[in-house]
Amino acid sequence: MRNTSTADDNSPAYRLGLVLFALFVLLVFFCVVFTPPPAIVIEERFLRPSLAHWLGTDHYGRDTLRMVLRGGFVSLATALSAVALALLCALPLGFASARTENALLRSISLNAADLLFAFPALLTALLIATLYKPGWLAVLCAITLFNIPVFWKLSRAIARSLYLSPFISAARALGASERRILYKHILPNTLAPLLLHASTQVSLAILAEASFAYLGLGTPPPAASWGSIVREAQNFLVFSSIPLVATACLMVASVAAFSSLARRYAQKLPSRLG
Amino acid sequence: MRASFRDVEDSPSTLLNLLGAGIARTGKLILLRLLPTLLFLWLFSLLLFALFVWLPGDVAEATFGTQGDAQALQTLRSALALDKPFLHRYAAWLAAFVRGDWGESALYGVPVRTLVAERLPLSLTLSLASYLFATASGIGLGILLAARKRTAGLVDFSLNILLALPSFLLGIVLILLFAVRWPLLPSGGIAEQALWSAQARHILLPVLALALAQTAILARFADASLRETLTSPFIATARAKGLSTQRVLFCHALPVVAAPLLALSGLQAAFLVSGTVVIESVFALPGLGSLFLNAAHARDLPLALALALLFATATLLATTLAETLAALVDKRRTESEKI
Repeated sequence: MRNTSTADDNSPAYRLGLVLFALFVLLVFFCVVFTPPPAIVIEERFLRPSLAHWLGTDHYGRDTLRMVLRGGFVSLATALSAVALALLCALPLGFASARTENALLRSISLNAADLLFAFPALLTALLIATLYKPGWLAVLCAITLFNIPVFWKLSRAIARSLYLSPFISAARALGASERRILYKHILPNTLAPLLLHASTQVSLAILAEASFAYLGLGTPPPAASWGSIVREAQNFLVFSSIPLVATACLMVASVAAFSSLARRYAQKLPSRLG
Repeated sequence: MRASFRDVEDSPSTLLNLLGAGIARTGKLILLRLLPTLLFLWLFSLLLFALFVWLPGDVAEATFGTQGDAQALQTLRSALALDKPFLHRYAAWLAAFVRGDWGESALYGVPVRTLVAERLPLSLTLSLASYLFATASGIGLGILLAARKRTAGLVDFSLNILLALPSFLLGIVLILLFAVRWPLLPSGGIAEQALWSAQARHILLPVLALALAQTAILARFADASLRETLTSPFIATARAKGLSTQRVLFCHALPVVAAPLLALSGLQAAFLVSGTVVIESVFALPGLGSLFLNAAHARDLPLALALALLFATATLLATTLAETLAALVDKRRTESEKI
C-alpha cells in the first residue's frame, strides 16, 4: 500500500487536522460530563447563531452546538466500544485458530469467519430491533458482531505467519512455554497491525451507527446521536439548515480522521505485516 | 492451466477431455464454495427459528390477548401445532418456507409472499443498477487515476469525502441539489406512469446515493493495485519490448488485478443489499428494505423472519458468486489454493 499514500499525509495541514480532531474529542467528552443536556425552550425555536447559542437552536429550542456534541458522544462511544469489544472477542478466536493443526477445524474457522463477514450489520440490527427492541444495545451488538469476523480473520492470518517464523522456533528451542510465546512474542507483534485496522473499522462503525440511528434503530429520544439528529433536522430544513450541516461536517470529519490515521501509520509498519 | 497445456502436447486427442475436466473443475469449485454458504444459511434459519420460538408470547396469546381462557388457548395451540416439539415445528416451518409459504404478515394482514412479490422488483432494480453503475464507474475511474502521472488533489479529496459520507447523507445532499435547488429530478417515491423513462427518472438519485460510495472504494482499490502492479518487473519487460502504455495497462496489468477487484465488488454487492434499506427510507421508495424497516418497528415477526432469510440468502449468494468468479479469473493461483 506504500504507493497509495500521498505526500499530504505528512504535511503540517494533516497534523493540524489531527490535533483539531483530538481537541474535538476532548470537547465532546467535557460537554457530556460537565454540562447538563440542553433544555427544551419552545419559544426559542430556530434562533440564528448568537453569543448565547453559537450555532443557534433547533426545532425544540435546544442549543444546536451542545446537541451535536452530545450526539457525537453517543456516536463515537458506540463505534469505539463496539470495535474494542469485537477485538476482545476476536483475539482468542484468532489465536486459537492460528495454532490448530487440525485441517477440519482450520477450514471451519476460515469459512465461518468469511461467511460471518459477509453478513451485513444492518440485518443484525434490524433482527435485534424486531426480536428485542430498538436501542443503543441493538446497535452496539450489531456493530460488534459484524467486526468480530473481521478481526478474527486478521489476527488469525498474522498470528499464523508469526507462528511459522524462525524466531518462534528459536524461542521454542530455548524452552519457552506456549504461554510465554503467546504473551511475549505473538501478542505484541499482532497488536500493532490490529489496532491500525481497528482505526479503519472505527470509521466504518461511525458510519454504520449513524445509518442505524437515522433509521430509528438507535437510542430513543431525547438522547440523540448524529444519525437521529440528521433524521429530525431533515424535516425542518426550511427553517434552519444549521443542525444538519453541522452534524454532517463533524461526522465526515471524524470518519475521515479515523481512516486517515490508519492510512498514515500503515506506511510505518514493516511490510511483512502490512 | 499450464499443466493442462502440457497434457495436450503429450496426447493431441485430449482436447475434449480437457474441456470436460475444466467444466468438472469449475463445478467442483462452485460446489465447494456453495456448501459452506448453504450450511451457514441453514444454521442461521435454525437460530432465527429458535429465537422466534423462545420469545415470550406466541400467536395464540396474541390472538386472545392476556385474558384468553386456558381451554381456548390450548385448542388454538394444538390447531396451529404450537404444542409440538421444537424440531418438529422447525421442520414443518422450513418445509413450508422452501415451498414458498412464508406465513402471514401481522402488520399488513396479507401473506408475506404477496408483499415480497409486490416490492421485490423495485429493490432488485435499485441494487442491480447500483451494482452495475458502481462497478463500471469505479473500475473506470481507477484506471484513469492509475494512468495519470502524479496523484492530484481534487479527485483524491472528493473520493475521501465520498468515503466518509454515509449514504443517507449523500441521499439528502442529492435531493437538496437536484430536487430542491435545481428541480431536475423527483425527490422520492415511485413514478405513477409505467413509462420506462419516468421510472428511470425516479430511480436515478437513489441509485447515485447508493452507488457513489462503492464507486469511491472500487476506484481507490483499482488505482492502488494497478499502481502497485505497474512497478513489477514483468511490466518493465513489457515496456522494454516497446508496447504502448495502453496495451501494458489493459493487457498486462489489468488482468492481474481483475481477481481481487471482482472479489471486492462482490463484497460491495453484499453492502448494496443492506444499503437498499437506508436508501429506500431516504427516498420513500416502497421496496423490500423499507418493508423490513416497517416490520422491525412494528415487531412483525413472520415478516421480519422471512425478510431476514431472504436478505441473508441474497447477500451470501452474491459474495459466494463473486469469490468463485474471482477464483476462476485468477490464473496465477494454483489449483489447491483455489479450492
